[in-house]
Amino acid sequence: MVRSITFTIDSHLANVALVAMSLRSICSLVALSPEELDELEIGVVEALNNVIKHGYDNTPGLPVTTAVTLEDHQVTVQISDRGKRIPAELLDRARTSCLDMDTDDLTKLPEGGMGLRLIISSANSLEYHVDDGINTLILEKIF
Amino acid sequence: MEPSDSDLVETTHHEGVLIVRLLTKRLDASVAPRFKTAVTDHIASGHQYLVLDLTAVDFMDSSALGAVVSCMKAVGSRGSLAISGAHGTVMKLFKLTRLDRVLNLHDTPEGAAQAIKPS
Repeated sequence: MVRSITFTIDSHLANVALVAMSLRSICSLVALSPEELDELEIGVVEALNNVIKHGYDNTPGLPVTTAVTLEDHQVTVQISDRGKRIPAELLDRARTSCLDMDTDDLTKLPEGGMGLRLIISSANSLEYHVDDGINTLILEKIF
Repeated sequence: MEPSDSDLVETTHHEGVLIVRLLTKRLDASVAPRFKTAVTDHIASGHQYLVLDLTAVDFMDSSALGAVVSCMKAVGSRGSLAISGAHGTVMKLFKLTRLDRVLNLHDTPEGAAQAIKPS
């Protein structure tokens, strides 16, 4: 059986927790493991932060829509916005680079730029497209 | 309404180490800048040996992780920064980013303070 819910938050970082907590509750309906749910929550939060911080430049009052679809062995999260799109080169770089960082030198540890790679590593697949000014990021978690 | 820093962290001392205990369940992008400022202010005021106690934190995102890294850099080689109580999604994030290899992780704030206390 396929079940789906869609909700929209205002583009304020404090609202991201509303989606994250809702996602946790919704996913309790399927057999996603706690570890898989942790991964998905990290990915969805990073994706929403990315929309608000970079897509909307932290401008409040703009809509960010999240649709969650539950199937027997898959959770799909679709995040849509009308902000600036993720630059293709950033997405390509994140897809081809790993999260492993130079941990030998404290001064080289990154303080940012981890979000996209965390989004990619959180799901089994990631799709991103722009249609009629609407950016849509789709995360699929198979369990 | 923006909470004050006293709603975000509380501090105690143990063996000459400042223990910064997080009071929020979610250490995320919405509070990361205030968290970073609260901790780096303590470092700037002379506290070079610190423990960040994350026992109460159920979730951390990369913005908060960046703030932790920034705190580590602020301490640098002049002192030491350890982390206690990391669990669940927080530990998952540390492992995903491989930062678990460089963070000084301990189960309890007292154990962390004992490990890094100034000689």
